[in-house]
Amino acid sequence: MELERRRQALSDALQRVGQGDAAALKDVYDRTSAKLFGVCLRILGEPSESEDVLQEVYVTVWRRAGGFDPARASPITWLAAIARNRSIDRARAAHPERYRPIEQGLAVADAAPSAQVNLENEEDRQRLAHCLGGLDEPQQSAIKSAFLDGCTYEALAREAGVPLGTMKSWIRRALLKLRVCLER
Amino acid sequence: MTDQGPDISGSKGPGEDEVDLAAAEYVLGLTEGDARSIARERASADPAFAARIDAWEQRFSPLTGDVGEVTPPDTVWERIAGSIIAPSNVVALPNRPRWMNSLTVWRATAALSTLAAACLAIVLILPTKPSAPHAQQIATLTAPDGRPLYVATLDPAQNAVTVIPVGQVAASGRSPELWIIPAGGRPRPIGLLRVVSAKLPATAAVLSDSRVRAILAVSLEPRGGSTTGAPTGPVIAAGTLRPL
Repeated sequence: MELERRRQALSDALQRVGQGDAAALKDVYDRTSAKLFGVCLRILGEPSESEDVLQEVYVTVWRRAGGFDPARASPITWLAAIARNRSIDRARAAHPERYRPIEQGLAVADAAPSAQVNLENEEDRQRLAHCLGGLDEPQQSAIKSAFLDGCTYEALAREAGVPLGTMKSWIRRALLKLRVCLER
Repeated sequence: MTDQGPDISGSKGPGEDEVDLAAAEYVLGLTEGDARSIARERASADPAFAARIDAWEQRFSPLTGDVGEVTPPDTVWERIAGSIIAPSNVVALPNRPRWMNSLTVWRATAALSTLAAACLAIVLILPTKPSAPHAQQIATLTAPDGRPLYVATLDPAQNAVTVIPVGQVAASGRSPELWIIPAGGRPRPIGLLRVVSAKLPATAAVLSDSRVRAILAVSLEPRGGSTTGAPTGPVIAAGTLRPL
């Protein structure tokens, strides 16, 4: 299957990066940089900052690929987690007051549909969509917004116009419900 | 897999749910400051907690499919290549009396010769054949943060390498020394650089090293240059030679 083959190729390349093969890093970059740049832009909004973070992401991949375990995580999940965490850390350090990514980032990042790597498993995608669909609307969009835009509890509460404590308990309850649904 | 209780929150005990929620909050980036660093430290010390984080990452991973792709500018890759040849901690050099582990740098450099070949084939679409023996070559030597520090030209007809400084170098009393690193080979000294441009002799060995995808690199050495014949100080700039 095409998806399986591409996922395997990326996983193999990551493992070669773990052995210090710099050409394999270029391979990983070519396969994933557009997606990861989209992830950074969506959280940070600002292109030059996103470029800095994207650079950090692949340097981190170069250093940490030895710890990538294909049995524990799919390669794109592992890479996207690095991109998201780096972007969130940068956003929090640079703009602690900011609570929404600037519009530009949203517009840019959503412009192109996935063409480079669609490495997500379709079954997993459908199951997550189904389970998220089972949550109430404010919780559903809050969880998506946290994951994709890097919003904090505080930002989400402000956005929804509810007290912080309310947002926290909404989301925590929704997460437990989601877990039950996904494990079913 | 879990023995389900009637409660909507599932069967895991309240304590366990707390731990699992902390992992999910970290993955979603819901918490800030201390809570975020505490979760990170816990993940590095507690494999069970790290596994919970992995599980949440995997659960939410399909959402990444909603993020549109944006091709980054080519300069990003060039900066990545620059960073892995000279790890970013060399930037903190002025506070560091001695380079910690220059061996790492040179190992990375060796790996980069493979990378240089890859860049060439994929990004630059330049000929991969060895340069003609008399062809001039040029390299932009950049710092780990991507700033260009020197531009070097190698002219086999004149047996010379000319190096022009284009950025500020904080040598702090040490001598910047230029090296050539052939693909898969060891660094060979070319000469010391000055604040103004320098024209250094290119020996037959240097010319031979330069034939196939060589890298030029500058390290900071004790006054007068390395006495061991190999770089001993931090790499402050590096770049690949390309046909002019």
